[in-house]
Amino acid sequence: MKVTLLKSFLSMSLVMVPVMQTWAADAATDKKDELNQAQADDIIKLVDDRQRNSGDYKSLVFVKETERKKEPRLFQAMVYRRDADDKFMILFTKPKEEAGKAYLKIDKNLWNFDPGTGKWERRTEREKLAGTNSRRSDFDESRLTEEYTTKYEGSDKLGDYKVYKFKLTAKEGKDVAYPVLNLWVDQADKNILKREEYALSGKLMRSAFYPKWNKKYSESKKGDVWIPEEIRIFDELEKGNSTIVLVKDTDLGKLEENMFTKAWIESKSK
Amino acid sequence: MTHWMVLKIAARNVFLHRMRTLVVGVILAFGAFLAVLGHSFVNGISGGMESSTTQSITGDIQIYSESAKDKLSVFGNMDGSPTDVGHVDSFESVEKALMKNPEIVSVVPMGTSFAQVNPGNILDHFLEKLRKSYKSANVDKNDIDSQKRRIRFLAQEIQKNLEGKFEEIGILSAADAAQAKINLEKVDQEEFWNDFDSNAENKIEFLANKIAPLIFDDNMIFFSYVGTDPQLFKEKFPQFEIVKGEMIPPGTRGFLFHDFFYENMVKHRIARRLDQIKKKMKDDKLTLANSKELQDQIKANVEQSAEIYLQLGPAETETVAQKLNKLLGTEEKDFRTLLKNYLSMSDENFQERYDFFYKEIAPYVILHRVQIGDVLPLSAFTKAGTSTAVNIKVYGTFRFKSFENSPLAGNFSVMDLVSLRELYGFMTDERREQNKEIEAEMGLDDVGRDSIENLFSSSTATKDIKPKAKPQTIDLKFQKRVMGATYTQEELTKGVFLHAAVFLKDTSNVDRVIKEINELSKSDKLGIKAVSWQDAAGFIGQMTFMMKAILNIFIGISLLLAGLMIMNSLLMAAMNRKQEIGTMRAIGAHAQFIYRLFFYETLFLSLLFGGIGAALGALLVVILGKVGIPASGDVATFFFSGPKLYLHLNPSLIFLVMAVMVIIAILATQYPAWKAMKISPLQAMQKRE
Repeated sequence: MKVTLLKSFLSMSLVMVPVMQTWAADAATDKKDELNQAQADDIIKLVDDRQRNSGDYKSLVFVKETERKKEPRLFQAMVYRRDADDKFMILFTKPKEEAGKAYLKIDKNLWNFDPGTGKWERRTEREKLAGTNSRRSDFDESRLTEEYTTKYEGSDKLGDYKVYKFKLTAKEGKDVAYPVLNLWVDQADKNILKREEYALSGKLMRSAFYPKWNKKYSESKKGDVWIPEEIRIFDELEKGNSTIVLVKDTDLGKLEENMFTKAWIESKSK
Repeated sequence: MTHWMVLKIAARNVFLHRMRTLVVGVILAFGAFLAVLGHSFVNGISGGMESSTTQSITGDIQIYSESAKDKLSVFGNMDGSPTDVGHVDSFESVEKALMKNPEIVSVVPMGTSFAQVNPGNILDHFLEKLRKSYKSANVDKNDIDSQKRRIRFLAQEIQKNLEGKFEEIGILSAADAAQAKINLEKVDQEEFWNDFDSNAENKIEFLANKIAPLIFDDNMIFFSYVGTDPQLFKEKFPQFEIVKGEMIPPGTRGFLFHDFFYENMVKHRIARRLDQIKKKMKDDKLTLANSKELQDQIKANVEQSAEIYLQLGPAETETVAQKLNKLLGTEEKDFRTLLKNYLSMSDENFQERYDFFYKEIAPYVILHRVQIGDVLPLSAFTKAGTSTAVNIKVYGTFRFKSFENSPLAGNFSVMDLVSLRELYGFMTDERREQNKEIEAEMGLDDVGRDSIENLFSSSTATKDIKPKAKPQTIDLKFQKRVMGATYTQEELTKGVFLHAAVFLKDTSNVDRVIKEINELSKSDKLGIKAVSWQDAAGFIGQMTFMMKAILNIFIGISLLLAGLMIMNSLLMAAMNRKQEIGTMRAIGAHAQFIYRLFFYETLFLSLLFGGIGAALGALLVVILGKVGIPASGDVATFFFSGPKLYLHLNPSLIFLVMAVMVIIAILATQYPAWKAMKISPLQAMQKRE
C-alpha cells in the first residue's frame, strides 16, 4: 500500500532542507575541476551547513503526482517550517476534498488531521510511515556529513552545467533511509542539481532533479537562502511514476507564534 | 486349466513367500490408506473453505470490470496488497441485465479493500478526551480535575515503567532518552499542573508530543472490509447474524465489525488471551500444566501487565489492589508485582481469576479499543495512493452462523457502499475540473525521464526572486465537509461498484452461467466479466487445488513405488521359478496360463492389502468424522475453517481406490509375466543338467 502523496511531501521536506541553504562566501568555493578529499568534504559540509536554518519558512506548494496508467492528481498546499523547534506543517488547500487536511510534525510526533472527522491521528514514526517507504530520517535535517562518507567522483556535465559528482556512503551504524547517494552539485553555485538514492542492494530507488533554484534574503539569517523552485522526482522502481513539486511564494518572515498547534489547524476548518 | 486352479496356485505363491508378500503388502496398504484418508482430509478442508468463502463473501459467481488491471482476488494478493480491479460504472444497469437470466437469483454489489483505524495509545486517548472537555460549552471543573489526576498518575506510571530502562530501549537515542527523563520529571512537578487550566492547550500538546510517545505501543488496527448494500448482504448471505449491537439501519452509513475480528483483534489483549485460554481448556481439554501454547499466553499476559495498570486511575488502582490481595491472600504493596502474581495463573485458579478479571478489572479498562456506537475516523488508501478518511458509526458486530470461528469467513467487516466509494477515492468530474485548474496554476510542462536533462540549459539559470507585486493569496478558511449520515437507495444502486456476488438457483450450473454472463456482457456492452468463486477467492481458491495436487502426487509416488516393488518381486519370482514354469510349459501349459498365474498373484496382493489399507483409512475417517481433528494454532484454524475439522467418508472413494489397485496389478504384471512366458521347457531342463 502506498501513500505516494505523503511520500512526495516527505521527499519534499527532505529537499526543503536544502531549501534553506544560505549562500556562504564565494571564497569558500574552489574553482578548479579536481577536488581533494578535504575539499570534497568541505563542499558537502557546506551543503549541510546551509540546510540548518533558525528562521521560519512558509511557501505555497503545488504537487503533481503521476502514476503509471492513471489520471494524475494535483494538490496545492501551504508548507510551514520552524526549524529552530523542529516543527513542520503541511496544510492542504486544494482540491476541495483535501482542503483543511493537515500533517503536523512536532519533534518525533507526526499528526494527521482530517476536518471531515475532526480527529487527530498519531502516525507512528518508529516504523515506516503510514505504509510508505519513508522513515523518520526523512523528516530530520540533512546531516550528510554526519551520516555519510563522501567520495569525490570527478567532474561532469549536467545539461549546460558543470557539476561535481559525489558518491555518499552511509557510515557504519547510521540509520539512514538510503545507504548510498549520488549527488551532482553545481560547480558554480554549489546547489544540488541531481540526487540519486540507492538501496542497500545497490538498486536505484529514486532520482530527483532540481532544475531551478532561487535566492532569497532572510532577515533572521542575515543572509541569502537558496530555494529549489522546482523538483522532479522519478520513481525508479515503478517506472512511469513521478512527482513534480513546485515551490512558490516563499516567505521567510516570522510566523505566528502559535501556528504549529492542533488548535491552529483545527481553526482553519469551520 | 480353470481360473480357479490358477487362482489357487497364485494364492499358494503369495503365502509361500511371506516376507516378500508382507513388504509389498504394507506398501500397497499404506498407499490405499493414504488415498482414502488423504482425500477425505483434503475434501474436508476444501469443502470447508468453499462454504466459508461462498457463504460469507463470494457467492457462487463474482463479476467485475472486464478491463480490470488485475485478476479479481477478494482476499487480496499473497503479499497482502489489494488487487486493482477498476470499477463498473452503474450497478443498476448491470443488475437489470443479469436478472433476466432465470438461473440468477440475486446480485449483491461489493467492493473489498483495506482500511485502518488508529485509536492512539492510552495517553492519547485521555488527552483527546481532556481537550474535548476544555472545548465543550459547559466546562465541568470537577470532571476536568479528575481527568487531570488520571493523566498525572499515568505519567508517573510511565516514568516508573522506564526507570532504569531508558538505555535498554533501543528506540530512543541517548539524547532523546535524556530529554525524556527531563520531560517526565517536569510533568511530575507540582508547578506543571498549577497553571494547567490557564494554559491547557499548550500543556496538552506538551503531554501529547513529549510524554505519550514514551508508551511504546503500536495501536493501529488494520482490517479488510467489504463495502456493500448492507440490507441486501444480510438477506443474501443467510448465515449472517448480528452478535453485538444492531444492524446498520436501511439507508444509513455505517460499519459492522466481524465478531471474530472484533474479539480477536480489537479486544483488550489480556482479556482476549484469557478468553482464548478458557475456550481451549473447555473445547480441546487442554491444561495449563501440559500445553505450551497456553503457557505462552499466560506468559504474554504477565509480560504485558502494563496493559492493565496503565489504564487504571489512582482510585481504581487502590480498589483493585485491595481486592487482588484478598483474592491472592497476600499483602503485596507494589501493585505491579501484585498484578503479575495475579496474572501468573494455573489450572487450579484459572476459572476464579478469569471471573475476577471480568468482575473487578474489566469495568475499569478499555475492553475494546473501538466501542460499539463509536464514530470511527476510518482511513484508507485511495486508488491514487493518497489517504482518505470517513466518519463512520460502528453499529455492531456480525458473524456467519456455523462459521463463527472461521478466520476465512471472519475476514471481512462490512460497511455501506456509499462510504466505500468515498474511501476509494473515485475521480469525479468535479475533481477532474479542479485538477485542470491546479495544473494551469502550476504552469509546468511534463518532461519525461529521458529528456529531463534538457531542463538544465543556461536559460534556466538560478536567479534572485524578484519581489512580486502581489503574492497569491490563499484563503485558509475551509468548509468542514460533513459526511452525510444517510443516502438514498437510488444513490446506492446507480453508482459504481468494484465487483459483485451473483447467487444461482442451482450451484451446479456455475460454469454454464459464467459463460452466459460473459456472452451477455459482450452483446449488451456491460463491461463485466464473470468468474467462479474459486477464481475470485484468488490464492485461497488456488490453495485447495494445490492441496489436492500435492496429495495426489504423494499418493501417486507411493503407488508407483508399490508397483515397481511388485514388478521387481515378480521378476525375481519368475527367475527363481524357471524350472517350475519350464515344467509347466513342458506338460502343455500355454503362455496365457503363465501370464494369468502372475496376474492373479498380483491381483490377489493388491485387492487384499489395498482392501485392508482402504478399510483402515475408512475406519479412521469415520472415527475422525465423529470426534473431529482439533486445530492447533491459527494456521490450522484457518485451513479447518474452525477449531475442528470433521471428516466425511465418501463411499465412491473406496471403489475408486480399489479400481486403482486393479490397474496397478495389471501394469505391474506385464513385464515379469512377459519374461516368464518366454521361459521354454528346454531352458528349464538345461538348467537342471
